[in-house]
Amino acid sequence: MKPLAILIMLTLSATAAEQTVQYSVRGLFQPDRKDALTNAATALENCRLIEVNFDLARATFGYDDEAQGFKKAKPEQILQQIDNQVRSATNHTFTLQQPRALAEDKLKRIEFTIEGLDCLGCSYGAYSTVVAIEGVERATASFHDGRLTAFIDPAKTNREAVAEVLKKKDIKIVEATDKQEPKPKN
Amino acid sequence: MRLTFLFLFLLIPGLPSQAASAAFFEQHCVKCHDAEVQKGNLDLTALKADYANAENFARWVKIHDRIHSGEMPPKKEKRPAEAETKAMTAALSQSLIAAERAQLDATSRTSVRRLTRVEYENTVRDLFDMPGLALQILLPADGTAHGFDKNADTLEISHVNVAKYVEAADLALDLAIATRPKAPASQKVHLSLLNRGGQGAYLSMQGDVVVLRDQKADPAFPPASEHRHLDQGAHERISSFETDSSVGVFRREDESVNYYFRGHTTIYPGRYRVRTSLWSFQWDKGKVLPARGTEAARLAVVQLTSDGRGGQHPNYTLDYFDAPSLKPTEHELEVWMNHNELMGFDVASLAPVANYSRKDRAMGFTGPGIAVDWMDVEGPIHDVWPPRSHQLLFGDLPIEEFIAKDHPEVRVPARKNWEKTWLRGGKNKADPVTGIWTVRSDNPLADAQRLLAAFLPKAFRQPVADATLKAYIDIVAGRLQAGECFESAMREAYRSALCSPDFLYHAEPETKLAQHALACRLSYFLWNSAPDAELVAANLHDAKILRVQTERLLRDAKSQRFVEDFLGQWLKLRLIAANDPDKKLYPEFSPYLQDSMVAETRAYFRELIGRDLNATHLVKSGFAMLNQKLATHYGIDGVVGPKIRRVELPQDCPRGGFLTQAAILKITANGTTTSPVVRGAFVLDRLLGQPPDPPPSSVAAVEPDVRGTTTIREQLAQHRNNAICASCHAKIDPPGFALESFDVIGGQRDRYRIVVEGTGDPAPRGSIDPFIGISFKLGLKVDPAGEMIGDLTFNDIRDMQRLLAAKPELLLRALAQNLLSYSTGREVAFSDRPALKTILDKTGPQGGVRTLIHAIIQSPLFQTR
Repeated sequence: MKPLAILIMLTLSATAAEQTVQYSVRGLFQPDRKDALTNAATALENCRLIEVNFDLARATFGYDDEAQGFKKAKPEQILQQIDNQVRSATNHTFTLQQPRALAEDKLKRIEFTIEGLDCLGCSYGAYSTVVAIEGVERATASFHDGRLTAFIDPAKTNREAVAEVLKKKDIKIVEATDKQEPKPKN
Repeated sequence: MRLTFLFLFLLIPGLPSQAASAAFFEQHCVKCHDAEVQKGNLDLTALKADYANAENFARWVKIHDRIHSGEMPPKKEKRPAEAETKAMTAALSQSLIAAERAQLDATSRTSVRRLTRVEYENTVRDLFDMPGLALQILLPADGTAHGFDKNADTLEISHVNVAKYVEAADLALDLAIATRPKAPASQKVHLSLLNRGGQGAYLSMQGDVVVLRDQKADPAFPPASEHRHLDQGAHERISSFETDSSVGVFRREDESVNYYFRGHTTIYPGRYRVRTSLWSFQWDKGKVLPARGTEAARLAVVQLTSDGRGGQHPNYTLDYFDAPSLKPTEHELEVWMNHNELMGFDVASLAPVANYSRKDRAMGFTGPGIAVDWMDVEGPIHDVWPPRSHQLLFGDLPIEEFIAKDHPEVRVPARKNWEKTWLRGGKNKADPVTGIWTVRSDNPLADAQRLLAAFLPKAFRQPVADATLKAYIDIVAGRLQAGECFESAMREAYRSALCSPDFLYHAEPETKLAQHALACRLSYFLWNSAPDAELVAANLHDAKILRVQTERLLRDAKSQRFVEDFLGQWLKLRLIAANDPDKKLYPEFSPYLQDSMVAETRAYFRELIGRDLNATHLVKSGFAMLNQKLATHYGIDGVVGPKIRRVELPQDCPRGGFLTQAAILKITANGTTTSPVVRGAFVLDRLLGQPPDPPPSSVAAVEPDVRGTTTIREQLAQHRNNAICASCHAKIDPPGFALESFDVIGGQRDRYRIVVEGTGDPAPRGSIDPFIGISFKLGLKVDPAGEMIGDLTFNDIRDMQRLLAAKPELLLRALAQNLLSYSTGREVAFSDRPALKTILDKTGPQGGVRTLIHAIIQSPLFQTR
């Protein structure tokens, strides 16, 4: 490589400032899905995955604001750009959204023990059902312990409504609780 | 009255010693067949000898045959002296032959006839070396006359045929002509039965299919239990079905279930190599255990229609394959796959179980399964490029890119866009070519002359006159002048050739067949297709060479086409699926059993030819051609796997000959009941060459008693009390009575099965698969005894076989007649009988089927038009 080219690259590198954004992530239904997202993120272009917070279902991305697709992009365009890449790399099993406005301590945690939740696909199926309900802010579903947990906005939904949706999908609830656990850390 | 009879009879032309013959009729026949009695609806006193009238001629032939066989006068009447009978029948025969020859000599024996659609497809396939090209399906079905679709009487051409021939020629040329510089890239695709788009994934959600790893239930995808897996779409998105695990299948294909390997849908027609690994197992509520034995899996080619979704697409079976217990076994085959075709699969030998509605689904099921580890599909495979089909059409002319702007005066050649019409969904990828590539000719008309001079004799299966060649060159010249490129202009000529009478019709211009016509007759007989170069070049008028070539053709794999086509019509194997046996009465019936039946009959005929076995084997044999499925059905032990092989039969086993093969027994039944009349008529017509007369329209048919309170035999006894019916049924019914020992699917029985509430005795399971539920009961006893004309009594099917096998000349004659009819495209006429007798004499009463085929081919009947 010629010295001039190296100089140009160094200059660009120095001037290109990385911006960071945090999004709510759908698809983080089991702890091992964190690795799945991390692996898939290696395919991202002009942006990168910096950190995943499984407890809050959030991920932080960095992007080059001079790069194609990000230059002079509005916030919603940046979300769309990164979300499209994430969806494409994960067969649409991960999607990104703007973080919710509701404070964490306003959320109510409800939990169900589900019968027949015995494989990754079933966990994803149960999770997808719950997370699509209006008022469910985030959820987890794990075939390791057969439990489905949802964090809901009490103003919009409740345990009975969630249970009803599950029943309609032929998902059998063995036990349902409103057990509160320690608040996840930000 | 008798004076009238004598008067009419003496009008028989050419009849020598008329007075003696007239006296014979008067003395022995007129008593029952005069105007008053008219037994059998025959009034000899009014029957003129109008041989030009086909109906009248046939009547006299029947009179001749009844007297000649000794059936008439009836045994209760005074018998004429043998010499008297001989003299009379000889005289009548001579007069009939003379009259028929006078009529036939004025015309050709075999009329002009086109190729049947099977012949057409085979001819195009062989011409272009495209062995799986599907053209038959485009053409209208052929009719039949005298039992065969090859009969000239039925092979006319309508405007519909012509339109379809154009369509078929276009499809063949689309495939034959190379339109790219390099072959489409050969791809090897690794498939799972769970691949997206097939039903395997869906069935795994509910327990009719399980996912296995290392011959255990795969912990990553546990068997469906009380709860089915949730949300198939979620499993697909998360790639649950993109796995290297094996797939264990319990449920057989049915109206709503089909197993397709949707990971490969063919884009480019051609040869593909298919490999798969199969094994069987016993499933016990989640555990994989050794299987009960070797199971059979079916591989098929599925022809996707419309948008390719769902199941029940047309398909054809490639073969059945061994799946041994816990031993993964690889099978490899080369398959021609057409556009949008894919591989299908079925657990053929398993009983029709369904776990989706069972409590605990797969985890509650104990029973057999077949596992598919994987399937690889590789292709298209081209050993040369351009392919042989293209070389036949364009020789070694180069294929170059057509740059339209460089040839503003030339129209761009049309292209078939395989990629656009591909029903996507597979893992295989399209390999489109950039630009338009076509054959380049620097000297178009000279090249056209050279190429057409080579092509036309092959396509037309005869030398081509200069004028004919010129006509095709003129087509090319005309198209070039009209602005077509060389390829398009040549294509027009080729299309015209493939739709021309020279291609579509058998060329038999001379009465004694010329060399090329004889080569064609021989190859369309034994290969059902055009002759190859060696046959065309051989001097077939030399009897020794003809024999050598006949042997070569019989040895060649293409002779299987003859076996299938001939048996399909002679023994009506084409009708094997005409009805589905009643599921309550015959729950053990399956498509695998049906295919095995057909395979047995074909393999048996091949064995008769291969070992040159005599005609008694048509009805009685010491061996059978069986696989495990059929052997179990017949109650014969020790046969394992789906491959058909020769099995020596236990003493007194009635199986073996065509007469007692399950295929024949199924074809002659209606799926619910059997009728001695139908089966007896089949035996008389097909095996003995004595087709019975159609029933009189005034007599009602015998309806089977589905309540099972009377047997068909008892009903027939009443029917036979009617004098009009009795005489024919005395001949027709006996073989059918003996065959009552076999049910509608060819199983042997002592009692009839019934499904009437509250009646019958519990049925033992016998050889029926333990996973098949039985609801039928046993009703009345079967009576297989009877008496044949001539005081020949029989107690059962074995006696009947012995009686029939004692008539080898009759069996041989019937087979010879059918082979002659099939191979010459015409019915064996009365005047052919002397020539037929020569064939039979040369074969000898104990002569084998292969010897008979040679005798036929060497005969003047075969070698004249």
